[in-house]
Amino acid sequence: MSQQLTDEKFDIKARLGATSYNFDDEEHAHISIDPEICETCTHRMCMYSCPVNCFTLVDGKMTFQYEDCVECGTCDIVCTPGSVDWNHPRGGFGVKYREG
Amino acid sequence: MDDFDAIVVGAGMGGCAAAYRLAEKGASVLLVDRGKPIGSKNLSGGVIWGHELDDLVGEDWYKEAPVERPVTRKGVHMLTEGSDFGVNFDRGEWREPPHPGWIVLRAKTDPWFAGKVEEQGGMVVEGVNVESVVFEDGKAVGVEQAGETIRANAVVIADGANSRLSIDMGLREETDDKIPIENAALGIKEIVELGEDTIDERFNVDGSSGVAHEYVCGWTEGDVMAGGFLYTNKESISLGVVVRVESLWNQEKVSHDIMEEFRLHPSIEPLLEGGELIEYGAHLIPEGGLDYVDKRHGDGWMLVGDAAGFCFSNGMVIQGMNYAVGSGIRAAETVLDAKERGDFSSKTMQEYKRRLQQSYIWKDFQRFSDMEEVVWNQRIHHLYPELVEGVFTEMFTQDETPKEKTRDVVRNQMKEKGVSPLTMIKDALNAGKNL
Repeated sequence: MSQQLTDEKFDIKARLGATSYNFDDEEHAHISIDPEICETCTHRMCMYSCPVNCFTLVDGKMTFQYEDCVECGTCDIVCTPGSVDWNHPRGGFGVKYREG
Repeated sequence: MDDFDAIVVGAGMGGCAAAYRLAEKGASVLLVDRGKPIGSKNLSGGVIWGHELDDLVGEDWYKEAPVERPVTRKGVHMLTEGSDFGVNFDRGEWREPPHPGWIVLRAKTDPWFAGKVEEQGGMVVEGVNVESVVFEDGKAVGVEQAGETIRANAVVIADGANSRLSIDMGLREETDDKIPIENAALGIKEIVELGEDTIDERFNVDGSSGVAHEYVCGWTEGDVMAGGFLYTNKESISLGVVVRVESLWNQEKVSHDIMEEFRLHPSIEPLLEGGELIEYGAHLIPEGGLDYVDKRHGDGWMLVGDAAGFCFSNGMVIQGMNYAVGSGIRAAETVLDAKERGDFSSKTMQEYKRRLQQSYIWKDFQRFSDMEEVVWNQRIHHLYPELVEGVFTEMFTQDETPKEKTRDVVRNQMKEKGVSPLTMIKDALNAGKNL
């Protein structure tokens, strides 16, 4: 759904409302994280670099929300080795750009 | 018995170009992509520079392809928090074909390109995520998905910046199977719909002209380095930032906030007034250049486009699609040669490297390896924008005090900002040599 822009700052999740997806079920989530390895992470670069804010701390524990992911691959390169298991979604699932 | 002469994995610019050339010359080819429809996984800044498609599809390709606008004016700007110092290059010759580049939206252009492959007799399959390249006795003999193998004499790997196939093949082994962080930039892009008339009026263009602007995002705090871009589509604006991933380290700065700061910059926001955001997306930009992967060919396989690291950005120029098409064509020609010789081993595949080395592609990337230092440095991204702002503010602000000579203004500003004249001369020489 398109979003009317104003001269105010716009929340990332509201901006994402403009993007289309074909969501897969949770059991087929294309990316998973190992919260125990995340616990040892000292930099939390995922939270600063992910362009769609998929990484959030809940009660001090790292969580990943796969639905909003646009499959850019940034977390795979910034995260502590072993913490992110990165794959493409199954064929036809995931982000679905109409403009690109 | 092989099912195809070649299988091409990934229907972006590189994969489509390879498949097109193969099909056109009578080879049997399968082009497979994980997106459904084709193009729905593809995102780029938006300008295909150069003339690779003229040579491949014909110089009138843009008349039938869904393109946005040709680039007829180019701008390079340095932004500070409140100022915009820009240079516009308006070249009369660019208004007539051949234009220097075309602004495109990939989810629209790439389905056309894949359609052209079909027109030439190639087979195109969408919505299939190839899981691995199948090897027998060290030679690539096909691809596998869900336990099923499709066989071919050659596999052209064009699966993009996050090339899982080449990672699984161990081609990035030395770097912990990942793109080293210093070799990556993150592109974030928004499409803002404004309507054709508003764009024509606001950007002083018409149906047959368009503008491409690049920005140095000099307002970013700390060590963060980012560039911005603005391209005029037919009815919308492609607006985005390219953030050097490494520079986000220890900065407490969130990537998508930089995008928002760019959109709300006093020089950008008025251009988008009344606009609607119709898409938000992101894409990794490989910047490793020639050292990006260990090798780009082997027995029965080749890497093209982003998967091969043929992408370049420095915050002022972003190029990738031309190199993707160019490398795709050269991979296809290598397969055609191999077919004729009946030898698909690395002995023939190494001709791909020779073709690349003889072309502008290899030479560009050799040049870029020196250039990286020139453009991704703190002086370009922070110091010089502030210096320019200081000089112009001093020169043009009337505050009832006598004006200093320009030379003194510059000298005082350099002193104030801590810019050493020698470093500046060195940067200027390097830029002149490499840009």
